[in-house]
Amino acid sequence: MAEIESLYRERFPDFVAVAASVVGERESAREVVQDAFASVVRSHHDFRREAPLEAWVWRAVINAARKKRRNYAREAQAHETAVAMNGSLPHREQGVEPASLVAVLPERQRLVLFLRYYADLDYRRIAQILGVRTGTVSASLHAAHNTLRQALSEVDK
Amino acid sequence: MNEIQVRDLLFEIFPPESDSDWGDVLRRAKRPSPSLRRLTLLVAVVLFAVLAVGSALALSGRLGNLFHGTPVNDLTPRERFLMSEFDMNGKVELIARRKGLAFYVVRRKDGRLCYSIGDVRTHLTPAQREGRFRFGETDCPLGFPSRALPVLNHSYFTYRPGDREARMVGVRGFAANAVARIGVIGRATRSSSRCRSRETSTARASGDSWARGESSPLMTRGRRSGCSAPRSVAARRRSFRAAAAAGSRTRPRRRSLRPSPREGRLRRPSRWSCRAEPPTESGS
Repeated sequence: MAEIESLYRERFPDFVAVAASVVGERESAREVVQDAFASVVRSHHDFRREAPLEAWVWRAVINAARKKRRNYAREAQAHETAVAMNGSLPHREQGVEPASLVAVLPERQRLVLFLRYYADLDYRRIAQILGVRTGTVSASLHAAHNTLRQALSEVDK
Repeated sequence: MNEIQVRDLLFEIFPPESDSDWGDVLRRAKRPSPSLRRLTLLVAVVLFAVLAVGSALALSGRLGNLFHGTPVNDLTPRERFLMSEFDMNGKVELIARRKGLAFYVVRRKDGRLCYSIGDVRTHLTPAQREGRFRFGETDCPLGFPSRALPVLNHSYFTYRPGDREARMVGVRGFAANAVARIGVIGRATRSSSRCRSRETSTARASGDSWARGESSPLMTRGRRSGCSAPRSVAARRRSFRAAAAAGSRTRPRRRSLRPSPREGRLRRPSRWSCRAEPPTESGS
């Protein structure tokens, strides 16, 4: 329990940012993190320590964020946030924001990007969290870099 | 775009904030989880549905319908034809045999059940077998068996010359499994126990039928429609004394309260006897 609490206090901004990268909204992301940690606290007796506790908690937060996003999409298919996350690349004339650049990325690339550069996790840990191979993490990160580079070059034109 | 630029971009999107609230997490953890709440709600709804629908079905008699028996597969073409004429097409099951009577349940194609009593006849010639119709009095009640209608009374009645009302000759019918005893309220001339139940008792009178459940002393009491009961002995005596006091010349004929030999021979029910209407005043 103390381990969970220290992880929460130490990593709270990272959890919120990664959750926000999925949900698309900071306030909802904070709620998601609180709920995810509450669920982790409730079920921490079931944790079998087959993987590091941190990976388990990260997975709980990401799953909660994905669930929230699905609920959003279900409640309002035309939700602006959802559209922004899946929308086309915005032009400079429309007022390009950094969030819009990241929003064009597929969810896995976005997650990998945030887990790598925001939460500062290594490839192995990211692979554990997302349940993919390390090579997949590397490929996703590479693809995200390429997409961002391409988006920025188009914006610069 | 190098890694530093990407990192700056991400931190620009979501600047780090440290408004964590561990106390809020613990408070949320103490609340039942939404999935548990949903599960509880689902269980409650299912439980309610089972209880409500089950009770409704039980009250309507569908759940309480526990009459099952041996399928009757030797219906003759004539019997099939007559059953279709009486709107009784369906599967026939013989549920019991009692004292020369056969108790049938007919499961109609529309799901409704009909209950019929017929006679048990064996050693029939081919011609007799061909021409027989084994079903006697038949009823297709909606609410049987149920608490409201635990007994299906197929008692049979007869008339003697001079009788003003029908006279019950025998008690028979169908009873729900919860019915412990069957009887007839009043005093009369002849009785017989022909009702199917877990425990039948000898009826001692004619008139109103009653059924007693295992838990309650009296479940129902009702008179079969179309068949009125004979007057009680006390009523007859009152009528006789009133006529005598009035000095009437046409004193009512005093009738024996004991069964006549003819009544004694009427143990065997005549088919459709219960369908007969009581004679009218002018006709008696």
